[in-house]
Amino acid sequence: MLGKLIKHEWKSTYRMGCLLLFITLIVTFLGWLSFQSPMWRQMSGDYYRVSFSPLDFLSIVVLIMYFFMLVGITYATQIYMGVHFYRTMYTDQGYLAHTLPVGKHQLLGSKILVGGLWVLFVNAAVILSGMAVMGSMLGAVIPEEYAWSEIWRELSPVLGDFFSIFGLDSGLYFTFMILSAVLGPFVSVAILFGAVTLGQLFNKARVLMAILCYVGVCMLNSLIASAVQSMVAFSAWEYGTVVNAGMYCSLIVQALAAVLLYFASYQILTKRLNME
Amino acid sequence: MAWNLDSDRPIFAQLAERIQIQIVSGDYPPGGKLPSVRELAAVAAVNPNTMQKAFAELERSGLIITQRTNGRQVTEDEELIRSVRTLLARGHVEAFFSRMQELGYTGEEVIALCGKILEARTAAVPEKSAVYPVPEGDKGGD
Amino acid sequence: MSELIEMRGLTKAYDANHIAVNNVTLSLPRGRIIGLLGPNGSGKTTLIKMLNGLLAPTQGSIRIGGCPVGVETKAHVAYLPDRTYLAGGEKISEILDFFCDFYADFSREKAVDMLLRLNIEPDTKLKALSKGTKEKVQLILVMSRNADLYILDEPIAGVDPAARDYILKTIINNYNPNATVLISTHLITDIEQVLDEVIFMRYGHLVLYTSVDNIRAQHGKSVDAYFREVFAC
Repeated sequence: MLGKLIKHEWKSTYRMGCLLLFITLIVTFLGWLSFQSPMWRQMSGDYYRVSFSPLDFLSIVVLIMYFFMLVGITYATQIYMGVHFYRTMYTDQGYLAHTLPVGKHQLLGSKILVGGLWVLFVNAAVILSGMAVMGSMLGAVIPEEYAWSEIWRELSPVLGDFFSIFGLDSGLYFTFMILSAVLGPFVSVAILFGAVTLGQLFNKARVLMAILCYVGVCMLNSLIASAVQSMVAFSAWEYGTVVNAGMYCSLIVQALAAVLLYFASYQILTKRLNME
Repeated sequence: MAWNLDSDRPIFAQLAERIQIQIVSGDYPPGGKLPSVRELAAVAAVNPNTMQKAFAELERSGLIITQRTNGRQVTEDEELIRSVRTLLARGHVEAFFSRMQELGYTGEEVIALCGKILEARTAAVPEKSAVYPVPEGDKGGD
Repeated sequence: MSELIEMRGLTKAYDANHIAVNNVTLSLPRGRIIGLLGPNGSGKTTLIKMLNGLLAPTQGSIRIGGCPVGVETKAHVAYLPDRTYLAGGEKISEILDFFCDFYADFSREKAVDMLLRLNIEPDTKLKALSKGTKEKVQLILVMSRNADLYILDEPIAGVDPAARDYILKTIINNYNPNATVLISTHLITDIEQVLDEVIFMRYGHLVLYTSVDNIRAQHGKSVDAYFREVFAC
């Protein structure tokens, strides 16, 4: 049954997910376009002879728009997933979801899996978009005679310095980054869905309560993370360690919150479900 | 078309009466097959359980016979059908007479009036022939 | 065989002042078409939602076919809610796929046959359907299942007479001696002649559970007239 639930959940989110990815693609094109204005080309030559045309102004505006739209897309994905979950579980459509002969673990699991997958895809698309636009910027700014391998050779010691300043072990750091990039979407979706489900405990204004629950969980999360961070700050004086501790701690706290909210949702669905 | 049923009497009894009338009038001939409970319930727009109950009632009276292989059929006992028919007819006539009595008619006056009306009707429309020829002894009541 | 539905001391209190269903103990057999009757706000829908696991009872227990409400009972209960759950850009045929996937007792042929009889094309998108047509599609989805228990919440409220006749005919045509149909309504006259038994509810209490023929034989009046008498203010 889990497979069927996942299949149908995928089908019902497919359109919106693809639309978001498509928008990311278009936005990326805008980002690329903004680096095609003459100003950037001139930068690679003599800085003092850069002329500034209205087209360049436009390109800056487009670049800023690009940035905000990327941020917007990641938020839109989360919001869409939250609304979709709410609609299919707790409005009239929920009458179908909750009368299916499937277990609540399967129901929740399929929603979190598919929702998380979409968030993961969109995040990946956003990162790729950022890399592509970055690439187009480098392509525009860096003189043509430079080869990519040379750039990397010059850049890697800088990155190494960057890591050592912050006290980061680059191996651990990348493992952590990948872990949080892969797990993060599922964790954040589980928290989101959990908050929406918590809203169902109230008799009135369940949507508002869901939003408040979500904000509350996020605030609690950052509170705990910064508390741990400051505790670490008392024992360790290196700046990097403190930053790291905050980051690791945030993910761990989020993961814990996700697990906790998942089981809370399960309990609510089995014992306290009150469909309006 | 759903059957029109009175609202104040048990439905199964009314269904039984309807089917009874259809049997004595020859709509369902002696020995003929009856529709299934489900079919007839759908036609009458009633609950199949209620139709079942009506059939059971008719089985008890002997008008309907259930054969394990062949479903339900009307009895071949034409004598029985005729006697039920007579019984029903007598009921109607009795009721008619008492209503006429309420209007102050005597028996003879009623018969005379009936004769007149019948004459007028036969002049207008040719009388439908009954499916069951009424035996001599039954004519005009006994 | 034991009773199909067994409710014991079933209670749902939304809060201290609002007890929607109050201590209902009731057993319903198989093979009946049962009307769940009561004025608006008498607890019919609350009772039905508890039978379908959409509301958690405050107290008491429900067993359907011997099982507490859960995955097992949902596989054998076909439920028509008092609202439409069909939304979005899917086609009717995709909803049929959905039902095929989740309900082992769902007959696609039966559903398509009923749809075509009503001149509803399975290729139509749900968004394009009127509210009335959506309701009919939902009824078809429910009646195309070979369930043990059909629970229809107000199936004839707000539909035109032709649609009402269609619904009643569908219920009769799909009658199965091993299954029970529970129909809630406040429009008794329309539905009286398809019912075996009736349950009267008032203010969340069970008032009466008896057969239609009993009411007619004992009181010499229709269930509707008797209902009006019982519930007269």
